[in-house]
Amino acid sequence: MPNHAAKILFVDDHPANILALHASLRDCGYTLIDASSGYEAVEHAREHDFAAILLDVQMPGLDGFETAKLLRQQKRSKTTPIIFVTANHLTEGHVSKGYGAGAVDYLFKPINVEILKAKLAVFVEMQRQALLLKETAVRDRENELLKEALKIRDDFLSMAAHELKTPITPLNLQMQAFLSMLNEGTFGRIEPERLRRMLETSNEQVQRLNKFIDELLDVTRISAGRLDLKREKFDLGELVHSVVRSFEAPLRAAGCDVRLDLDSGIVGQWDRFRLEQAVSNLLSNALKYGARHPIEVAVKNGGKMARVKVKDNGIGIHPEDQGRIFERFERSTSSQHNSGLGLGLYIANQVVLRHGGTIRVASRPGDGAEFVLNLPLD
Amino acid sequence: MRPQNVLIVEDDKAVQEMMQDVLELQGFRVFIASDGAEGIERLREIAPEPCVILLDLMMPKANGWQFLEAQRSDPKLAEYPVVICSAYPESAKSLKPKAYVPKPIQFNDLLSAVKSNCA
Repeated sequence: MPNHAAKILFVDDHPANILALHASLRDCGYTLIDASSGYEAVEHAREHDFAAILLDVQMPGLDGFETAKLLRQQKRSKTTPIIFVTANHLTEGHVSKGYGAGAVDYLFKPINVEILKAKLAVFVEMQRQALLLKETAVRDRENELLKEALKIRDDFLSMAAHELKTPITPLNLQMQAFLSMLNEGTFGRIEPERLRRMLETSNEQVQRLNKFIDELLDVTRISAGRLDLKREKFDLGELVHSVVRSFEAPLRAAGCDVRLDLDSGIVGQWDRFRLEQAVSNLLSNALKYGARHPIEVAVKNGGKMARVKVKDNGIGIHPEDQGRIFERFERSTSSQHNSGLGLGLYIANQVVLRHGGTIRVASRPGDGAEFVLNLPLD
Repeated sequence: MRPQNVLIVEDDKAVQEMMQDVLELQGFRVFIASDGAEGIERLREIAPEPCVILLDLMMPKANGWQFLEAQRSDPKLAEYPVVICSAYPESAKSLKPKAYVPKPIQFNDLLSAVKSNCA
């Protein structure tokens, strides 16, 4: 724990008293801060955490009682121990007025230095203990959060390792079967159609692996704040159209009709590659969770923002999951059977945020999901 | 000689297709199911009965565990040999299959597991 000198506030309208106090506490290692009025004291107490406040009761303007009340109303000095310093011979009423105003102790003038030192030492130690407790609590909470984050990352890594391994099986089988058949002289028996299909499948597996690795690298880039945009001027409708065209085969395989409603002439300065990625991820999600149902894709001018809408009519997203799906390493619980790293929406959201835009989702379970991507136009 | 039947229960499409292709090239007739429930259905239909079932564990709907439970509790299906293909050796072996093939699958492991059951 950093060993900051404990701070003591001394409030007295007589400079001579302040000087005397400085002299008597010189060797204690405290930082002494002076105030010559109640108002000044309240100001100081707003700026510093004091271990104790020595407060003269008889002062012009705000007296000690009034000053104590103000100190108690202020968050930072709400619980700071206040020691009233008074020359008066005290009546019981006087004392209870002091305690009522928030005093925790009394000292009489002329101040007995030994008693003062003893009292201050107690309050300084109390402050140190309170600080320790607070720091321990903060550290415990930080440890807990760290453990949680590590657990999430470990779970993700084991899932990712599994996903990365899956495409290896078809690649293994194809290459090793071919080699074995070449060695046995039976390779020529493979029908051309089968050969083509096997090679296409293998090629897809390599692309699949490559995509996973790109996604992992993107996550690293995003975490390190290195997702840099290469802005260029282009038509958003054309970009979305070309992404939809690139999904022709998987869309057909999933039995999804796409209804396009693309406004042309919506032009802005964006990163083409990153936006393709974001729109692809939304579309591939729509396809994954909305197979056999139509998908609507629209590009619209929303004034200051350009809007891309991707709406599926699939299983929908539970309200509880709707905030979570944009988080790293998260996916909706209903999707355990869907392969992939579950990074698509996270990356799409980060790409759009980096452009100064937003992605919003509207969905009800069983009733499809609508993702709207808003991008600043200027 | 009539080709022998093999049942593959596996949810990943690329893995399914490639297993099917390489086993067909080795002269087997291959049937595919994408989850445990479909696996049980196929198992009842295939004639003649399969000489081996190649079973993945992590699958949607009914997984490999559920498939085995259903298969083993049905006297008509219980005797068919099961080879578990999985990346989780502990889980696979605890299920006491006829054989275990680790994933990612090697061609020789697959072939010897199939051939030893389909002599």
